[in-house]
Amino acid sequence: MNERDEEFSRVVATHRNALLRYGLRRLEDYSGAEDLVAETFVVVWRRFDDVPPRDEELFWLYGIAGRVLSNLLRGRQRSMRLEARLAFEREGELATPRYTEEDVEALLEALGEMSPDERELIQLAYWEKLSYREMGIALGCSEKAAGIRLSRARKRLHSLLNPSKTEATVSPLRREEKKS
Amino acid sequence: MNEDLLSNVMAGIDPARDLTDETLENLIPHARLVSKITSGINSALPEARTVRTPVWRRAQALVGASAVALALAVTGAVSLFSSAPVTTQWSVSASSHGAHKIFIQGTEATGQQFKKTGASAVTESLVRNHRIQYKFQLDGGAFTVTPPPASMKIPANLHAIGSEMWATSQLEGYSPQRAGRTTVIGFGIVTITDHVKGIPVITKTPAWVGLAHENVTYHCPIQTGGQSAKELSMQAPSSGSAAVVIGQSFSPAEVYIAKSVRCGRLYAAELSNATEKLSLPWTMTGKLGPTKVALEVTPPPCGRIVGDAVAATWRSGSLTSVTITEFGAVPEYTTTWQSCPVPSPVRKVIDLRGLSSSSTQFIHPKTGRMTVVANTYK
Repeated sequence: MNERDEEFSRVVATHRNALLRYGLRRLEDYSGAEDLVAETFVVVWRRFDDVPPRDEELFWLYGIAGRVLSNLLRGRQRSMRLEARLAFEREGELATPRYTEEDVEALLEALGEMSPDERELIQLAYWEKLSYREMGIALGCSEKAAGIRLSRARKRLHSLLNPSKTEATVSPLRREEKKS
Repeated sequence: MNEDLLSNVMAGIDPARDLTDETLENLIPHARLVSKITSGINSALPEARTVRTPVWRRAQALVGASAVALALAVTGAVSLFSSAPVTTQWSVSASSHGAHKIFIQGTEATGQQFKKTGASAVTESLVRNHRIQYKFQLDGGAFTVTPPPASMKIPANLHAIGSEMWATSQLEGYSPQRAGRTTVIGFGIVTITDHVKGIPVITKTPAWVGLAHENVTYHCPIQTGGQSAKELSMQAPSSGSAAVVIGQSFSPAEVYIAKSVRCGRLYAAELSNATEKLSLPWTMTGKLGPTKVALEVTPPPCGRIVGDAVAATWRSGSLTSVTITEFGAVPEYTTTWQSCPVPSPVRKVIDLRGLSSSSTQFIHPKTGRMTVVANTYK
């Protein structure tokens, strides 16, 4: 095995589970996640000279996985399915959630109304728990730009979750109406 | 919804929140994933194929006067990951025990992958009347089974033993070894010279033996340097083979996985106590809101609960049916299991990962032993 093969094997072994989780969070099954991860690494193989330093690898991989995912979803004409028809294995009991069924429904509905790009930002922030810097690496933009984009996506999410509050405080149209 | 609540709900609906690395590695084995990646790389790089011409040669080896010689006739540096169509042959020569020479073919079907279809070559006459007929070895004698004395009575019925063998959890990814039309299960005298702490020693032990072969497609990167496939195959002549040994009453049940070569690497033989995978009975004790249910699961005697699986169908955001499987594992050998007391039920909460309604149907799959060989669950 030459140096490149070895390094590639290391990257696969190190990040496969993180990418599988990424895939599972966005697709409906293990098989889909496995395909996504495999295709992502095929792209990585082709672009192996572009692999960043080790501490940035994973975020760069998320970026590639995101683009592969977009292609997959376009091909399959899928929408986001948070209900996730997953067959999963897990052990132990779950903690009692601190939210209601209505909260879940509202969030699912709001995420469903967001654009794919906005949703991806939210997911990277809350599920992959990326910082602005890490998100910038994933999205191929600066840390500052990632922060701005996430901030906009958050605002949009909150506006969808709390429509009345947002309309009262944010909507310029309403402000104009009130003035008149 | 404030930020704290949003974080909580996002965490709550995270489909991967409870997936440990171990679970992921069990569900999506690394070899399979690597195989898929390599397939994609090979498809994307057609030029890579033109520079690699696999050389497969047929070879024979005779080991001793009373042994079956297994020679995995593989040469060339690309072995398992050849991308050009090839036909591989394993040659098997048998000695004076009446076994005849046969050839088992493994074929390359797609031109991009090589599927190991016959890594454990055996002759059709290895088993007759459920008895091993001649001395059979793996890894040059690390695992040996010899014919039982003619006077020895065979203890159990073949169907029950077969069912138990193919539920062995270590054999996920394997298929039963066939000789002619039948799978290779026979009664013989087993000796395993490899010793592992915690695994009972098997020396001249009367036992049922089932042979299996790996049923995994490998796609591996182009190999340069290192040992050649020929050298590796000499070190792992039984690569891809596994044997389950189930002794008579209260004797150990063990799995021997032969030294193997995968993607140009040599892996040591593995010996472990055989465990059997089960689907456990459960009863639903209540619903905890629309997204969770409470179950009582009875662990298997002598065994443990190892996890659960939820498969759901849904329509318009609501679950229509949910199949909940509770997995258990027990040491393989029924007699031991029956001698254990029945444990008390355990309460579990199952997250349905969706919203159930009054019309959601909860399905309890068939309980008992699961067939895991060849990656199938029945």
